[in-house]
Amino acid sequence: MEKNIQMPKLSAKMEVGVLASWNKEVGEKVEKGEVIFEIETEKVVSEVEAIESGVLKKVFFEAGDEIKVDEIIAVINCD
Amino acid sequence: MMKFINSTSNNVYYNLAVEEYIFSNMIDDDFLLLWVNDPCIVVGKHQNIFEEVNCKEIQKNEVMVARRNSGGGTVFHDKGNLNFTIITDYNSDNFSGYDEFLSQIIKLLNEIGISAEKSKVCDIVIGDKKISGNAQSIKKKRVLHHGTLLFDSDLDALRTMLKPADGEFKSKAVKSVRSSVTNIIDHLGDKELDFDGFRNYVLHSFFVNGIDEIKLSEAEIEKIHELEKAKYTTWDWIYGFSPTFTFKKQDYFNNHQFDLYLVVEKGKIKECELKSKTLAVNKIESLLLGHRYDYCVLSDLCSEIEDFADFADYLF
Repeated sequence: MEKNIQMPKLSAKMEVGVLASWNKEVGEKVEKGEVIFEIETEKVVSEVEAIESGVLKKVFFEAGDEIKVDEIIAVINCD
Repeated sequence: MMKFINSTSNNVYYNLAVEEYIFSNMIDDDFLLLWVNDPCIVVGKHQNIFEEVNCKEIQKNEVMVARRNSGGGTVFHDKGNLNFTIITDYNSDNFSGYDEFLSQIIKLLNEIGISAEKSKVCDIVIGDKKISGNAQSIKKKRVLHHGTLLFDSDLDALRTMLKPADGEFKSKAVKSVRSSVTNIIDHLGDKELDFDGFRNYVLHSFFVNGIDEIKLSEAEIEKIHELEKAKYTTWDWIYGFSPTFTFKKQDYFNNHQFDLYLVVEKGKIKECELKSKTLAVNKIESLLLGHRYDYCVLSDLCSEIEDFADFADYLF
């Protein structure tokens, strides 16, 4: 089953975040709890973990892109 | 309850490993760390180090350079700078960002007559000059906040290392924002305080009811040294973790006009295009391709071609 991964809201005031780096590539297996990507916003680096296991199917942004909160960043094919 | 962990090391790589170790493994308490480094340059996690510092000058002068786990830009550390780290729980619903951490520091500075205040999102200033830069790292349900406190730092010492290479860099990396800075010691008025006195004052401000200190075990220190060696001292982390970038340069090398374009990914030259009417372009492109964008490495490679040894100087 496909699930969207969205830009999380890391604090009450956050509106955008920068996708700082991808830890996984398209086609790679992702376990629940593993870090998929990192966000950097106002000098805060946050690791974003997978909520469920699956395979990373599609990504819509690359490292360095600024993304609005709740926007879909990637699609994961869940087990 | 907050606990204090002291680091007596002045080695930036070791101290960064201490931070990470505590952040990842010790999740039941809140922690304060105070640490001081020998002169070094520290870049933010997602910076392109090649755009921020002159890697040729760094290597020629054996300047210590490190990459931290938190965001933001490039900073200098020396023994007049006090680093503090606070590690605590994180909840996105009520996370204030920087305010709850900065307010503690600002309060303790105000109490010794320093008119410190917050500026922008995460700076502490006296007037329009910065005395503290801060950054954070969040993972799982924990946050690590750390910052500098310029007490008696040599503000000019490593500045010459900041001039990047003479060429055009392009990347989506996090860029540094330069600020005017000042030392806290210049604003103490009649108060007599040296660095150690300041450090003790900061420490006692966090522990008004007595310092609750934890000492790391031998086994923990061993693991921290392993992390230091496996990550913080490695080229792959310090240089190779830089985001992908391009480098363009047009110049003359020994009267040979050239036009160079590099794509560097994970610190290695992924693409190399050289245009020149008089240089052996194919030979040089093949020579450089796939290698680390590292001054020492490229100098050695360039020495393999006759009369070409100094070409590496033009790449930085």
